[in-house]
Amino acid sequence: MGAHKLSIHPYIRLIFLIGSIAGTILINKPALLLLFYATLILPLFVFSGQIKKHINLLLFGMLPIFLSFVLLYIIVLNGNNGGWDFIVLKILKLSLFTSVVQITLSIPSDNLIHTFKKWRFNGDSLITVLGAFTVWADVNYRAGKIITARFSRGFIGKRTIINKAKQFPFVLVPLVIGILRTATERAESWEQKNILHLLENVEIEKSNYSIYLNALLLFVSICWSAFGVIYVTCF
Amino acid sequence: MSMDKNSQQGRMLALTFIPLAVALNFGIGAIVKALSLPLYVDSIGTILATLLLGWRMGTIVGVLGFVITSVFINPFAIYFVTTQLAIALFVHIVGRRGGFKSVFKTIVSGVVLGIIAAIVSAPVIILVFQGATGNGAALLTSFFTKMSNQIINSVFLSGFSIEPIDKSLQCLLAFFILKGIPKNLLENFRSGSLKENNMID
Amino acid sequence: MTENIPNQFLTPICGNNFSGRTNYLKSMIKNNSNNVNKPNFIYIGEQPSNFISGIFPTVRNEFDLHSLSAGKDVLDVVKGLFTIYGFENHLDKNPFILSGGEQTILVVLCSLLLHPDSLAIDTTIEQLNAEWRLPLFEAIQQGGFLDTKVFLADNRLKEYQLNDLAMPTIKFEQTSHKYIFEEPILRRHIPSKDMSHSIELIDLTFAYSIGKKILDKVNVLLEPQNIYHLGGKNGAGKTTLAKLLTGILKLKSGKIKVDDKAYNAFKFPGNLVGYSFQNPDEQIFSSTVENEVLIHLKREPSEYTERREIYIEMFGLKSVRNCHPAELPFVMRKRISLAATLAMDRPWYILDEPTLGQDESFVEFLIALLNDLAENGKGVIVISHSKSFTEKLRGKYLTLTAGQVNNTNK
Repeated sequence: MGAHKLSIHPYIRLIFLIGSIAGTILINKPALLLLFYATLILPLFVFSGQIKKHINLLLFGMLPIFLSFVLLYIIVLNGNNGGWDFIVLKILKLSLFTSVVQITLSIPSDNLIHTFKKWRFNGDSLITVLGAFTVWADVNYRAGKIITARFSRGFIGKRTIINKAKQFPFVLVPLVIGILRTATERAESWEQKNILHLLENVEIEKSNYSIYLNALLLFVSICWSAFGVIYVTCF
Repeated sequence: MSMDKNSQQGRMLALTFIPLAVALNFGIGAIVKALSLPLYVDSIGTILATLLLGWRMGTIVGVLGFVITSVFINPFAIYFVTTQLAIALFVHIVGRRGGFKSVFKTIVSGVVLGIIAAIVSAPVIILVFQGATGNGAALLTSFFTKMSNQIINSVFLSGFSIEPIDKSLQCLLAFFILKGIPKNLLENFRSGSLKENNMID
Repeated sequence: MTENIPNQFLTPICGNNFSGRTNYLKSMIKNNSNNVNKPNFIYIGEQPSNFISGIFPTVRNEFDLHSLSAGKDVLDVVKGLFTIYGFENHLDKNPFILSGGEQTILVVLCSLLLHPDSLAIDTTIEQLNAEWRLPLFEAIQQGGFLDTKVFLADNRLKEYQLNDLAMPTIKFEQTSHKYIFEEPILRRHIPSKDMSHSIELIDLTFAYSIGKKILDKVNVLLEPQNIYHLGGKNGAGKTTLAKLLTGILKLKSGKIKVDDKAYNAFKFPGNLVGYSFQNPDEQIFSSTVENEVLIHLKREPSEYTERREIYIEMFGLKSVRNCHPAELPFVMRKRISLAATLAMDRPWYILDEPTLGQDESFVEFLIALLNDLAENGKGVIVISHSKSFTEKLRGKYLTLTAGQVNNTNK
């Protein structure tokens, strides 16, 4: 999942999220949005080792959207509902929103519990959200093994996409049966261990939050949203 | 005392099941996306959780599922969390009335669910994406816009074209899965609508 | 069966399958846990991954979670065991990607850290090899986990050399179960059309990622009418080799020859080899036992029926033939999956831990069946941690070390 070298404090994450989105909604000048992106968002992705993920977003996420915009607004509507300026602005805003959300929610494994606790998740909600970030690896792994089993029983002849897609429902049944069994046994185990009590009191190593990074993010987020307000009132 | 124990057990079971159902939403959605099919199939976990545990748990699975999907696979999923709430509510209401009793009823439920999902997703598509979502739906939207010159109506129309197919497929898969599970494994899930659909006694 | 719970560190619980051991262990769960910090009773079942907390994505955090009220002595014992098992290398890994044996150790150690009054381990230890069992048992029996009485229900107790200490054990004899399971018994020789094919591996190389060769120029000749025991440490490549032969993975380089002719296993998955997984739940696809035992490739319908009936009878599945496999206990699911694999009538079989959870009478049956299959032309490769099983099932030994296969005849 990439090297997470940046640790952002949970409160700063939220301020960063709200401030960036507020500013991005209010400011309508593409040049300014691009500046924000280039000076803050892009470096954040680079330094946290997630640049590959970001490029995936741009190539497989934003590019098709850009093409749909062109198809819809330029080709079909002949620019009557908005031309290239409109498209560029919308694309920039959408990229910024999505990137900011991605950064906010890309929490390094060590920081997960601390972050959610600071975000006021407790007891049931905390255990649920932590579980969601953890067990997908197990379900993925099992699905892989079940597909392997289909091969080993000779169900899949030629490895065509259609043949693979046909396996779908047959893979899901043992997968869900396994999930139900796991849920039941794990629930009993959690009760025996009094897991909620353990979770409440677990001591996780304190994360080192880089003061410079967090201060910078705080400063920039506040400035950006303030600038957004100024932009709207003056322009 | 035994009632307390039962409800405590029920609560624990919901807590262990939700993350696993989230993984289902996320995993299946990822496979379908990788196959580049013009479908979503990203809510099976939500539908199953609602039928097993009720709409509240279904909503949590749906919302969490889309949040996790946004983090790991498709960052745009997070904009559509309201659709998950609508799915959970609808499946719960319809489930209580035996909407998943037979194949035919399930398909009908799926089609109606698709229409509702299209209605709930449309504002998001219009406001956030201006109709250009970068997938098959966007192509359809362009097609309809060419006919009518109206973006908003076209978004609804393309939704009504795709969603009923996608959602009835998902409901059928959920039906097929639940029918393939022996009743003794489903016995502990009493707060959903399994009984009304003859899936447990 | 004695009512008094013997007061010692480790109580073995023996008995055949379905004699009531699991029920006894589960009945010990008391309703109220008086002390929030000290659990009464923790139960660990057959699948260790179900007993991992599932809250934290790293092994390190999993230990931290369970170390909450662990005393210094217990922590020292656990740390010592850590080093023996090489867990320092696993601290940042997701617990769900560890092997079955590693997960077993993780779950047992975490449970012991909570110093429960009682800890029940129900056949989970069968997934450990001998090297890993000894340090754990020693630590328990030497009083390393003072506060906890460990109850060990297991089918391989005789191999564990626990008889050194004079420990009263709890023995179960009655067979009372919701379902009636007949004893497995070898029946007449099964007619087969597909047998006696030799497999030769020439310079077989495989790597999952660049630079990390799991199998490095493996050269071995596997002859039919033989039983092979495939051994090697965790991660040595046993499963990889099995998958290559079954046609699930594609060779990076090297050849597979069947009867001296080049054979592309990847093109025909599941054709040359019938592969039985360690975990039966990953391999069960039908909604009735009799459908699951049915063979899957092209055959005449009358042949299907004959083979199916023979295997259902042999594995003692007659009275549950119309039940859903998933509603039956683990022991039966394992037998069903094994029956389904062997009923497939492939020239070769690879069986991963076929005796997991099975008692002595089933093991004896399986040994007789595999010998019968081998005598009549099949080739069988077995992967097993059970010394007693591998010694009784006479065969040739293949050990995987550093990507190479060595033939050793013990």
